[in-house]
Amino acid sequence: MIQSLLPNILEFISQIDPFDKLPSDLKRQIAGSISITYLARGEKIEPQTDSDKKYLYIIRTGVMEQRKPNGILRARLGPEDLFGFTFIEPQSNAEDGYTAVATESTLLYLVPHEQLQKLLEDHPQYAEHFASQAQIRLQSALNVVWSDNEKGLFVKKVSEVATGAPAIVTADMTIQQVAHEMRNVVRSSTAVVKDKGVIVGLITDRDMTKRVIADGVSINRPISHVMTKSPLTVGPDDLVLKAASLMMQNNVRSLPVVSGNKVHGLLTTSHMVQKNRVQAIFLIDTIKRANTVEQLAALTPERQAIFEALVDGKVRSEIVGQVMAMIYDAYNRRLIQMAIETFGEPPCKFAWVVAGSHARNEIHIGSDQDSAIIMDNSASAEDRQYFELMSTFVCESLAKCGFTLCPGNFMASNRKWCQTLGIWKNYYSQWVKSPDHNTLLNTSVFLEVRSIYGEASFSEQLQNHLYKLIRQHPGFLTSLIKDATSVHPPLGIFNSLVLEKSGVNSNTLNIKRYAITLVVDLARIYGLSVGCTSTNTEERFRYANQRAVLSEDALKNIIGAYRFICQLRFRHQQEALKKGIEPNNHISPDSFGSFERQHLKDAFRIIANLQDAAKLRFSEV
Amino acid sequence: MKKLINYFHPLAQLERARQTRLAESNLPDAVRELISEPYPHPETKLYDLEFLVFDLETTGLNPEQDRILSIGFLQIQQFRVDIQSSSHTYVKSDTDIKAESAVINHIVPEMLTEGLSLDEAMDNLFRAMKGKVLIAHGTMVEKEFIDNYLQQRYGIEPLPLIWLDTLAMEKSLMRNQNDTQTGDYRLSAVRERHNLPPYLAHNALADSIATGELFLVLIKIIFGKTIPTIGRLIKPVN
Repeated sequence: MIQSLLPNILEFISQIDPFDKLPSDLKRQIAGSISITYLARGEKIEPQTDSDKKYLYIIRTGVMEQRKPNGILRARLGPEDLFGFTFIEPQSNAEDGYTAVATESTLLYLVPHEQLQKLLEDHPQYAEHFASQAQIRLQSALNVVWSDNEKGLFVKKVSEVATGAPAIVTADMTIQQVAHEMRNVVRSSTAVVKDKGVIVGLITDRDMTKRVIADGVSINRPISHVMTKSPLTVGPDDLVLKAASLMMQNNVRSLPVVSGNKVHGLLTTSHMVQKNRVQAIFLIDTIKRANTVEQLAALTPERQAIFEALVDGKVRSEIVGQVMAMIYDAYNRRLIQMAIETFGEPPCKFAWVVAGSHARNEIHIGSDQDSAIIMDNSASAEDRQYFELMSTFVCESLAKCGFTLCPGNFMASNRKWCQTLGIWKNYYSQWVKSPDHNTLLNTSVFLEVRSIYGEASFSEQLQNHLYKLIRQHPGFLTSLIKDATSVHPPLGIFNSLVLEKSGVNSNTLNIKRYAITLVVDLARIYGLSVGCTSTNTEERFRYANQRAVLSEDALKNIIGAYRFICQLRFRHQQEALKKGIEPNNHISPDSFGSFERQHLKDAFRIIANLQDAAKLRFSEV
Repeated sequence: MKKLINYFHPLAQLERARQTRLAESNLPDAVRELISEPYPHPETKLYDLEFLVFDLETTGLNPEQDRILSIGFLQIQQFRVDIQSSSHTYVKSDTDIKAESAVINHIVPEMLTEGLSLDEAMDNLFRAMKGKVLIAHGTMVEKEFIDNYLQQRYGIEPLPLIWLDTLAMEKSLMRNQNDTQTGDYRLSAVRERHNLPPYLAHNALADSIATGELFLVLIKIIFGKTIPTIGRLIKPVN
């Protein structure tokens, strides 16, 4: 009765994250527990020492600034912003100590900690929205986005799609007995072969044609003679995406769904076509069969459609990056093949390597080209001419397909980046032994390389060379960290402006420069410091955690922050695509709701904290 | 000297009047209870006092003809408007509601059949008023309706209660010295001048909250960051 008469307060908190996630009766309970205070300009609250009761604070009108004990600005908060999460549950390493000062007259709503705690105990499913640790809040932000929408086709579980059932036979059965079982009993194109209850093989009707009929094998031989041994399988909880990429990589059309030695079902390509239209598979297949650059270029809208579907499906940013990288690789490989068809077989061994975000499998729709060619040490001057022809063709054709040329010219078509393995090793030695700011800027893209065509061992040798150098010259990491921490994340989004640490405001948030690159740089330093061979940003952090140079907490924090900002960039790009605008990295703060602003602030803070920690760890040599 | 000033301080006068009234034999229990607590000393800091902000929605401004439709109130403690202490009551009535008042406060007859009787509602209000400094925006209306009720129901004179009027406080601001007669002093207009958010008006509880917030703002404007004593707020009249 009383609560229904609090429309002003109820309406206000109903539009604010995380209260908007609560059912209306809980919102009413919270509205009914609020007390309101008013701060004149310059008035201060010190949440951590403030009297007996603790509160979550919501700014109704006005502006406040949070400052750390040393006076450094921590955040500027405006209407709808919250603070005081720390007190929901006391945490040793939660938000650090700070005071909050009203810089304009401020009307504050106070939600008693007690009340929230009681409410969350009764309704634990909402607790994570109010968690004091930023990482938990970010995780819950990602979850909310996922669950709000229908999950994308790639993130469906295999068990949701695979309805087929394979025949299950034993290894001592004859080929004919198995064929009978498949054809007449189970009516399946596939049989799983077990021996003493253990899955040992797989046979399909195509195998029967190729391995039995074509080779004239007697149908009385045991099936174990012709079956595929140690077959590929997927688990019922695996993502469809994983199954799809397994099928593509291994050129198989069906995968048994198993857990342990229990067979749950069968996933076939036709299955996935009917159920799911896994577009990426078709696109990659079409790319492989394209005969001209024009045909490839015509596929660009399809590539964009897949990107949009992935972002719409709220697929995790890491997976979006991987799928887009798989597609990119397919274009790139097909163009190299076309070059070989045009210019003839390569005169010597070589590797076409991709660098930067492409090497890390962190591709988005706006990714440009970063590539290089590593030639065999025996390559002559004429050989080099061949590769110049090839790289010019490939890079220009990629540009026609929508992969913009690298503005810094870090491409195989640049003579400087088309060199023999020996010269590449010399490059690395120079960079690592005498790093200076300019060369670092110019070369950090090549600190990650991945071979996509030719001699994969060349890029591996190069990477091993790099790791060895770094171990011998720890000063290199010091230079990297100096470089990586020279740019700071902004403090937050305030009104319609991005508040930068210098106090300067910008009209747009360059999410690449001020967030994503900072995280990628930190991951590189942590990864290289422990000799992590993966170049993937998340994996580097995880490896650093395993090697005990990154705490469990810091790991969760930074991964949560990274996923959140990546997702934000993807969504920004997707919106640009839908409007027919060229996707970029500049996001207008006007496009952020209360939800994004809160979580961006968390993410920025996490990045800044890790920068500080990395500086301490790696600056001292 | 200070003692003498204190003796004539309005609060001291109110306290003496309270004691006199408490001695009256014809006081009904609810009223006796209401004034049973001693009033604060003028030196008491506002921060240590409890306030009751309240608002009456009525059918009009004349207590002899019009009647109370609803009562909303809530407390301010430690200078915080406490929603948990809030209360809202519709007052039951057999007579019809005037169309024009229904337009203003959106109270329709159906609501009132659910409400409390006027006696029950006033007893509730009196219980909440006990030991509190009373705040309303334009106290005149509230005061007259309460006085009229006491007169009609119990045949007793107005009570010596401690009132604070946010409307009078607003008028006292220097910036308003020139237009105390002509300016717009409606609650919503005053709130807007002080950059307070627009609230749904003409609901007794919403208006109480709105008045409570305004009170906090006015105290800060008039006295700055140091919260004053009650004696400075209830000034001796010259």
